[in-house]
Amino acid sequence: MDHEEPINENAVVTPSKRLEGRVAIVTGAASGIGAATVALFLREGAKVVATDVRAIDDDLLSAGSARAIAVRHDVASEREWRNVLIRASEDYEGLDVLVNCAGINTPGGGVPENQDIENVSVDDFRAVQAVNVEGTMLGCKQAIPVMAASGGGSIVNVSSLAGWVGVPGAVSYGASKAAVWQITKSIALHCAKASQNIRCNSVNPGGIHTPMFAPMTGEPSSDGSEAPHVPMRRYGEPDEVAAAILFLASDDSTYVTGSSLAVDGGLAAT
Amino acid sequence: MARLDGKVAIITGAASGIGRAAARLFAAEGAKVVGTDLQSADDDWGKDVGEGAIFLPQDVTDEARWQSVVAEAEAHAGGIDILLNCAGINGVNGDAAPPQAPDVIGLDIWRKVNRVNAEGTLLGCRAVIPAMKEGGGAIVNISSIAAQKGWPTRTAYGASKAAVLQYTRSVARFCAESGWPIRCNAVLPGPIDTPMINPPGGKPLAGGDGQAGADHVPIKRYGDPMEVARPMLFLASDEASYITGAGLNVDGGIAALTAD
Repeated sequence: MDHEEPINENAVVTPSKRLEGRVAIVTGAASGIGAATVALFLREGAKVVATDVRAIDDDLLSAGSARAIAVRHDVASEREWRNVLIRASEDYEGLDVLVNCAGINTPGGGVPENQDIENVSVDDFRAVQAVNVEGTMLGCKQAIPVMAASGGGSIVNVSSLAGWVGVPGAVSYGASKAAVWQITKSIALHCAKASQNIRCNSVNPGGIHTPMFAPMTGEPSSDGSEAPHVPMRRYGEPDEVAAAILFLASDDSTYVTGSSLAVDGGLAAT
Repeated sequence: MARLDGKVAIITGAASGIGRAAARLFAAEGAKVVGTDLQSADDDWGKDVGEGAIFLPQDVTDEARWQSVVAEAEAHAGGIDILLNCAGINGVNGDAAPPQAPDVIGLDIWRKVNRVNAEGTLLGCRAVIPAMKEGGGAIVNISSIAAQKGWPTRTAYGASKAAVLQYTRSVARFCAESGWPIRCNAVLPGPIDTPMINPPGGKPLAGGDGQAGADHVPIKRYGDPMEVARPMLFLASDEASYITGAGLNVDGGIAALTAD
């Protein structure tokens, strides 16, 4: 694709496939927001390198099996990132989109226990930063030269509302997501200054029905709402975050870089 | 299927700039467009925007006119699903524009800018909420990076756009917490090549190609109005179903840095 094409004044309508011919890497693809993003990107015509440290279900990729490969990938490993970039370059000849979805809230998953400031261990803190922050940093670092060589591209990092507001029971997670948000801006400015035609933005989800968040959702309140503190009175679906990621990955957002997009049912406005 | 099939959209400020681009895009994506503006539409408006779109003259600061615009839109299209509050002024165009610097600004220019930008947005939201609360809807307001940054020569403009952003959050909460399926979000554009910053008959942007002079923008160019219209399409569409009360910067990276 040629990112230098000026907007065609006569071609107003969105193309029927919004990522036709684009090559995308999506991490954390085995479940949750990552899996929803892979499914949506395949429907929109992308070629997808889906990565996860866990096994990726064949059914996820079957929608576009000729345009999808699964790679086992620990995002905290720079060596494994190099391997993923080689797969994108060799199997699909370049890279247009990187979505850093891989993330953890505690080293072992589940309900955060002993993750408040008085009890959190340095090991736990570091384990969360390694995946969420170092994983995102390494992905961007390794992807930028490949994207630049492809004529440009778009990076979408998954931050969180927890990167903005206090999360007293999950200090490691909150700190990591604030770092993802902040590094997104530095990357956006770096790429702009280098005239690489690479945009970098974040989505900042609130509570989403994912395996990671499921242990925190609790019982419905007395009014039947699962999320009485959220203005929309519900949690979001992974598909709803994937739609926002698609917007930021696509040519719908060509003047958007260094931005964050809350996908939180209005929670950040409270 | 187009992304706004079957939707009805009122778009203010539709004669030029971002509002006009949005009218074209929304019509192309299947919406029935009701475009309004204080300026009259040029002869090409209908052809440019597309068949099925109608244009209504409207002063967005006129309360009574909002009621009749909503009534005309409902009569024309059978309901209202989307409102884009694009009408806005910065108060600095023209040689006779009064200064907005804090030591000299007059109440007249302060009130004029705030009336159009802040009160116009308030009146628009108030007028469409009753029409949307049963069937649902989406409102997208135009704030600005001026809401986030100091701008000593455009103080009234900056304050009015901050009001729009803050009001957007309150409207979003009010509608959601009332149980009405109405979302309300804002875009915060940076410098876009519209008549507001590049007025007809005024001094052209340096270089004459609409791009030079954009050294303060990290990606080194002004935005095209369509580059704001597309994020508005996303926020107005069902693709943004879990997004409300959000402000999205569309600014070529300006918000990520300080002036240098």
